[in-house]
Amino acid sequence: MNEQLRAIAGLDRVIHEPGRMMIVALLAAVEECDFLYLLRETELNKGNLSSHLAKLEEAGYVEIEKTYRGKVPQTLLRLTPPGHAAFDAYRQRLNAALLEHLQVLSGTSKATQTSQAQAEGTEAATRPSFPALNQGAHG
Amino acid sequence: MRDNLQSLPDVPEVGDLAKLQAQMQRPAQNVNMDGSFELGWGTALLCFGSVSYLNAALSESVWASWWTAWIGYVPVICAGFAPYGIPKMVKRFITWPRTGYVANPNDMKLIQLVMLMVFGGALGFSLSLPFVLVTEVLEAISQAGAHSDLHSIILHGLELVVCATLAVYLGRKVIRKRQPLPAAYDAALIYQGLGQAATGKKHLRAVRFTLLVMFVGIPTLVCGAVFWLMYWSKSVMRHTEIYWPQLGVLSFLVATNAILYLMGNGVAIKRHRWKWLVLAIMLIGPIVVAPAIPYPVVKPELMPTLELFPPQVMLVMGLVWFLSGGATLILFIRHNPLPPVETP
Repeated sequence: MNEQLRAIAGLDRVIHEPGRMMIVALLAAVEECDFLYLLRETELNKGNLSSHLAKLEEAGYVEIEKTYRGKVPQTLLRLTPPGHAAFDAYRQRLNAALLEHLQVLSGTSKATQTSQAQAEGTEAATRPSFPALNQGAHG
Repeated sequence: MRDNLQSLPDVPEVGDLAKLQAQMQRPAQNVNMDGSFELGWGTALLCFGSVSYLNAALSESVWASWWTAWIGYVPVICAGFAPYGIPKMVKRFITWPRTGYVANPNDMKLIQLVMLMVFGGALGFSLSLPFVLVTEVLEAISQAGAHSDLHSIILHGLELVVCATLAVYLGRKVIRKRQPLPAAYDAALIYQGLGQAATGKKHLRAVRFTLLVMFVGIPTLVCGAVFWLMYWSKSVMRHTEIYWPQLGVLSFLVATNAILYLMGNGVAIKRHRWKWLVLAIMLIGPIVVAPAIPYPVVKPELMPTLELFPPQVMLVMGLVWFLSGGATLILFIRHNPLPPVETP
């Protein structure tokens, strides 16, 4: 299995589903919001949104609080600390995959530079190697 | 190399990250979708501008007593609270019933605002009182035996100690690192990664150049253009003599205001093209309109300050902000009807 496939295989499946990914990304960017806000921003229908939220709540990623604003019922939603941690790990894994691709590009460019340097007899071949990036993200 | 770069957007993670980034930026981008920020800031500028007019309208007897003199400072207090209170009210009664409630992580709390205002006042006094004290001490030394000055020196000294203590205490609480805006990309890692590839270095250079142009080049150009316009019109100075500090401060004020407007409407301006016209009015309006509005000079000793920050310029800028915010709010209400109330 190559590195990219391995990275995809290790992604959190609860978050990786497109609908839930939208919900979690929005919740990660705000302190809290209500059901109407999510409905509007994600453009999902009420049934789908409820079902996704139930799955996220079941995984312990989202906290759902039913309150009243005046006489109007309000459903407040916020990401829990485990939810934040899971989203951070998911985000970092995507970043790491992107960086691996950049690393490949860098390798290609370095190989080109090396061949050019050998041809020209310069010191360009002794550039610092690409550092081990974001090791925590693979954990 | 070029083939590799072209294939980059096809990597699934790149697409996912782009979607995440777009989604995470939406709450911050929609903060001013209802024009509430413009209404708040416009009201603050209108309040600041109206202070001189109110001072002229109030009778002398109001200023004579400590118990009534606070009336003259009401606009200043309103100006302090308007950028906080008006957006809150608009969001609570107009925006949230339509779009749903949302709390952003960097929203300022009321207690933070009060602390910030007290800190600002304490800092101002801490910086200005030493000058007063030095002057008084020098006068007392030159007039040896004048005991009446000693009382004032002790009082000002105590005030300085209290203000400085308050400024240091509150400063540690108020000046805190703001949470960074949420982003899907890990900027440090991407920066490091890009810096390793030759093409990436080119991208980084382009990004650095764009940032430099945005934050240094454009403000300098706008400031220069306003300066030139004011120099050309001259009428804004109310007298024929060219007063350079006034020109400098005014051009900085007008240019900063226009840039703030542009930043506050970064996303909305794409939807509402008429805001470009408002921006032009904001740049040219104070220069053209302000000289036509007279302002009273109640205290001649305040003249240098009034020349630097003429109240009519504040009024014109405040009015433009307020009208722009009002128009945005009306359009927002028209395009976002209240959702139907569901019966159980």
